[in-house]
This record gives sequence, C-alpha cells and structure tokens, in this order.
Amino acid sequence: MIEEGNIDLFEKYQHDDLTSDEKKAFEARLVYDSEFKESYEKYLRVGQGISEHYRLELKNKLKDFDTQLSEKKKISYWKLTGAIAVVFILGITITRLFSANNYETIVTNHWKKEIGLPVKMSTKGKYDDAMNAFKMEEWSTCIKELQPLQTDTANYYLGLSYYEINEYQKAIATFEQIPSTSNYIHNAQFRLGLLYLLSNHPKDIEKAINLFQQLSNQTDHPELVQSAKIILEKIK
Amino acid sequence: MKQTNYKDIFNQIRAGEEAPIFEMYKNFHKEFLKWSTYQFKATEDQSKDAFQEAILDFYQNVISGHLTVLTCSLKTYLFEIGKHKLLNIQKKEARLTYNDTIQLIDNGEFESFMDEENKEYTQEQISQALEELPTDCQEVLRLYYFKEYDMESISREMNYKNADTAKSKKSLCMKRLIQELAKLSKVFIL
Repeated sequence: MIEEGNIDLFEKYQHDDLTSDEKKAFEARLVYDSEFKESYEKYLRVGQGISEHYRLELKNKLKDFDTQLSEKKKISYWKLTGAIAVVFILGITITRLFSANNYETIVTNHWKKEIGLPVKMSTKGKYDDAMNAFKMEEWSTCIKELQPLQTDTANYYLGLSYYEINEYQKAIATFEQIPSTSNYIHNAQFRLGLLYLLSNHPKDIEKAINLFQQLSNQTDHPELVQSAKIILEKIK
Repeated sequence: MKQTNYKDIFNQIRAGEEAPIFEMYKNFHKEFLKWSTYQFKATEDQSKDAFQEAILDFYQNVISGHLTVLTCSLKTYLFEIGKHKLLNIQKKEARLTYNDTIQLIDNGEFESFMDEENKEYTQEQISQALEELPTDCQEVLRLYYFKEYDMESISREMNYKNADTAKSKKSLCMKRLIQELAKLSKVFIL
C-alpha cells in the first residue's frame, strides 16, 4: 500500500521541494525503513504505469494507422486491378467488334453468287427441282431437295443454301464433307475460309488463314488465287 | 518528410504535435519491413511491432530532451532502434515458446515471473484507474509522466495560474489515482 500521508512527501521529493535537511532525512529513511522504501517504489511504479498507459495509447493509434495504410493499399490494388480488367475487356470487345465488322465486309465482298446448274427442259435430271428452287431463292425447298442426294455437287449447293439462310455452322459442316478429289474442292475451301472468318474465333481465323494460303499457292483457279491473296493481306 | 530537417520534426514534437510520428511511420515502415524480414527473418507482426516501438522511443526521447541532435540520418536512427526492439521481441517469443513447449521454467525465470505478478498494481489496473479520473487529471498526469513536461509548461498548457498550481493539481490527481488503485486492489483481493 501507498499511505496517503506519504504521497505529499513523495511529490515534494520528486519536485525537489524539500529543504536540504528534509531531503537528507527522506533519503536516509529510504535506507533504514524498508516499508517506506517499498511504498516509494510503488509510487514510482505508478508513475511508470501512467507513462506506459499513454505510450500504449499512442501505439494503438500507430496500429490503427498501419491498418488504414494496409486497407488503402488493398483498395488501391483492387481499383488498379479493376481498371486494368475494364480496359482489357473494353479492348477485347472493341477489337472483336472491329474485327467482326471487318470480316463481315470481307465475306460480303468475296462471296460470289452461283447461278446454279443448268436445268434441261427435255429431260429431267436429279438436281432439277433443287436447282429450280436455288434459282428462285427458295432456300428451304432447295435444302429439302438436296439433302437426300449425298453427292459433292449436292453438298456444295447445300452449303450455299445454308449460307443464304444464315445457318453458317451447317454450311461449314456441309462444305467440310466435300472430299479433296472433288471438282468443287477449291470453291468449297474458299467459301469455308470465308465462313471461318465469320465466326470471328481465333482458332477459326487460323483455319481460314491456312485455307487461303493453300488456295493462293494453287494454279487451277486464278480468280480464287487472286481473291485469297487479297483476303490474306487484309486479315494478317 | 524526406526533405524535412530533423530539427523541424523535433520542434513539432516538442510543440506537442503527434503528426510527425505518423508521417515517419508512413515513410519508413515498408522499408523496415523489407529490411528486417530479409536480415532477421522477422515476421510481419514482429517487424511492425518493433518499428512502432522504435518510433515511440524516438518520440519519447525527443520530448524528454534526451535526444536533441542526430549524428546520423533519421532513418538510420529509427532502423537501429527498431533492430534492437526486434531482437528483443524475437528473444522474448523464443523464450515463451520454449516455456510453452517444454513446460519448464528455471528458478530465476520463475521468480522473475512471480515478481511481476506480485507487484501491487498491474498495468491493467493503472490503466483502469486512470480512466476513472476526471479529464483534467488525466491530462495533467499525461503531460507530466508521458510528455515529461515541467510544471511551468503544464501550467501554460492547462491554463493554470502558475507552476505551483500545476504542482498542487498533479499531487491531488496522484492521490485520486492511488485511491482508485486501492479500490481496484480490494476488488481484486475479494
């Protein structure tokens, strides 16, 4: 215990308010009176405790400040990441939109209309009904007539018909069935290349480039070679 | 801060401002974290704790007048104190881990541990008792013990008539604090 009566004395000693004799007596008592000494040490300990209390208070402020700095850093990090993501997504969207528009224009400019096979009046051929529908641009009838025939010729015109009704995947699947030995192979491949461009998917664009490169190296169809070269220049 | 003369910082701190310590913390804590993690394999918590302690030591040394001149850069000074704080923290934690793991406390350590427990007033009790005091008492004790102001400065800060008035107030506040502590001790014993 710190006796209340001693507190004034401790205070005076601490503030050097004792006379020289009082000070000597105080210091002597610290030596011979162990209870008094213990009481004074406790008094000093309270002083240290007060200092420690305010030090801890300030340290807690520093800790809070540190937390604020970390949170700010986290927020900045997320803001930066968010901004990068938005720019990235916008970039991809704009590029893809631009590319898609660009590819559509290429396809429209290079997709030549076929006039269809001749239909003889004297004899009825197996493609006649389909070709009549093709010339009349009655695409569903044409498709219905061509589907059962299962020939390269039928598949080529079937692919063209699907394209006209915007069934691009069906058109691709049909053109892909045409074998390399077919007379229609180069035309089919050229149209396949154009259809791949329309999908605007990186893998399909790569397929299209390969097809146009193959076509630009062959010699049988100079018109296709020329078109393939022009398209390659535009898309590369 | 980096361009600020350390004497300006000293003056601001002596004038009672705390802002410079936050500024110092902001400017150097990341570098200290990197340095101490690399040099002493400190954890993030250890490093932060040590640097906060270093800043507080610097602050108290300035306000107490123990530090008036810097013979090195402010950063070097803070890092040097921080290093010693960190090593102490690591030693202390290693000792605690040892005690926890092996459940052995040698006699010296045990006595020291018991001494700490047997002190009449714990830090928690002192803090609790301080909270019970009127605001002006808390402020006078803070200025005297933490900021190490002399009575003349306390009287100016608190708008008292003179240093003697401040001295009487401080003495009164100490009595009240010790009374509060006595109450808490009784509760603690009961």
